[in-house]
Amino acid sequence: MITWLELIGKKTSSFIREMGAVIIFLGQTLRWTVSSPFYLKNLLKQMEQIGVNSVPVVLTTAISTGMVLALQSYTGFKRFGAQSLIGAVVSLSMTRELGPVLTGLMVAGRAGAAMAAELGTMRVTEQIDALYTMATNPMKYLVVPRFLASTIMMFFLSGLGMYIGILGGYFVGVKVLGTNPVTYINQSINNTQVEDIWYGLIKSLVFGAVVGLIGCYKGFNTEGGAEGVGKATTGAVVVSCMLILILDYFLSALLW
Amino acid sequence: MTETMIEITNLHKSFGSFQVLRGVNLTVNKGESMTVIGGSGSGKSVLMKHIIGLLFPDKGEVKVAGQTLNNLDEHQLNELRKKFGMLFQMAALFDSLTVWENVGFGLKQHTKLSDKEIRAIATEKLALVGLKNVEDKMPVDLSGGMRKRVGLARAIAMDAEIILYDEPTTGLDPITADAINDLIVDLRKKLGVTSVAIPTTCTAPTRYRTGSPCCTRARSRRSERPTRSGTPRIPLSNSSSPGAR
Repeated sequence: MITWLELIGKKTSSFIREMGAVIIFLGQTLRWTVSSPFYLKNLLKQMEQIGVNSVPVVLTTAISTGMVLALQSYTGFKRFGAQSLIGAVVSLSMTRELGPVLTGLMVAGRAGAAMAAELGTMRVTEQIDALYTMATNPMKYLVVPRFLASTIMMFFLSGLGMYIGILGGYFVGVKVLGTNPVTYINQSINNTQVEDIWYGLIKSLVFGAVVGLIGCYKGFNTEGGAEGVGKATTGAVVVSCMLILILDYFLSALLW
Repeated sequence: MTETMIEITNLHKSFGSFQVLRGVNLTVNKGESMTVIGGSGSGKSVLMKHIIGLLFPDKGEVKVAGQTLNNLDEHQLNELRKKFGMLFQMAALFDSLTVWENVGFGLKQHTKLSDKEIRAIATEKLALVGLKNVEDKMPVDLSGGMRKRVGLARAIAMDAEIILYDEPTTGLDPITADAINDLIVDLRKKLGVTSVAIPTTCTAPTRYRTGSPCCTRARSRRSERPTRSGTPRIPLSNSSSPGAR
């Protein structure tokens, strides 16, 4: 019994300590985000690596989701003759929910893991220490560009995901299932407000910050050798995905 | 009168319940080369990390060029670090940068020199450590010995006043290790900087004893306390420490 209690206590205390460390890391990141020097070249490079290089995987996920959503909605709605609502369902789902969440999960898996692995390797090979010895702050040089790039690019990737998802839904709904294109488009436009798109994009900014923060935190605090880098990478993906799913509910409730 | 460059007084450091350093005192004068020797895990690297402000003491103080590291803010600490060059165990070159960008990293960050000028300085420093035509290579394309040489070129690129060598010959074959040791001796002669070195084995200080005086004093460490200090011959020949002998 005592052993169990001890274990629960240790896990709880470790969780709280980790949360505290992440919050401090976020505070330091934000502090260095607004102070000079600014490494614009690093930022652009990270925007390419995190954003541009994630386009194929985001496009594939979005188009597939939009197409499946249209197909499944059609099957369900046909039972009570509401096929004309497919457009509305696809566009609302893609903008408010699936666009940002799926993009967040895909970028966490691709770029979040890469960030943790890269910074983790730099940590265990003393490259981060080398930055300190050369009077260069690694938070400023390594973390801030990744954090900013992840936040900014998630916004654009989500927007792209929404658009492509809706296009995929249109293709299946109109070209494959034969829904009237005018009805489809009208339903989509009439039922989707500009706010819906903004809510989705605001969510994506938060998800981008989460992916950048957790990827960098895990990498920056890697301990041990190759095994440590592996653990940091796995940890970054798992924690980012969990946080995206948890925050998604609260953001949805907040932005209802 | 000799000027003190590094002064460590009553340094204590623990990691959790594991005490690594207990009451270490060390003084390194300007232009002097100090070699810290001791068994694996005796805290040599921890000591070195205190000198450059990568770690801070639990108790005691570390003074570099008259400034107490504990009392410095981040900006002041970075200004002080510009006086340092450090060669890491595994060279710690930046994977994503080319050789010349690695060597010129400090110059790029802290001077207004153009890329062309930085590249010229990098080429000059690389030549000083015996490397030619490697400027555009990536670190991954270099052998272990070449990486160490590039690390050495990076350490001297900013014309450092103090150079720290953390096991500069670890993982190298004896011939390459000898070449790196020769380079360190040459650099001391040419640049006359203050240096603190942790040799991989006692081979390096032994050869300093017989060859050129790369180190002018050696410091032996056993357990948590320093054991002997003096000219290289004393701790190596008379020390009670098996590691030092």
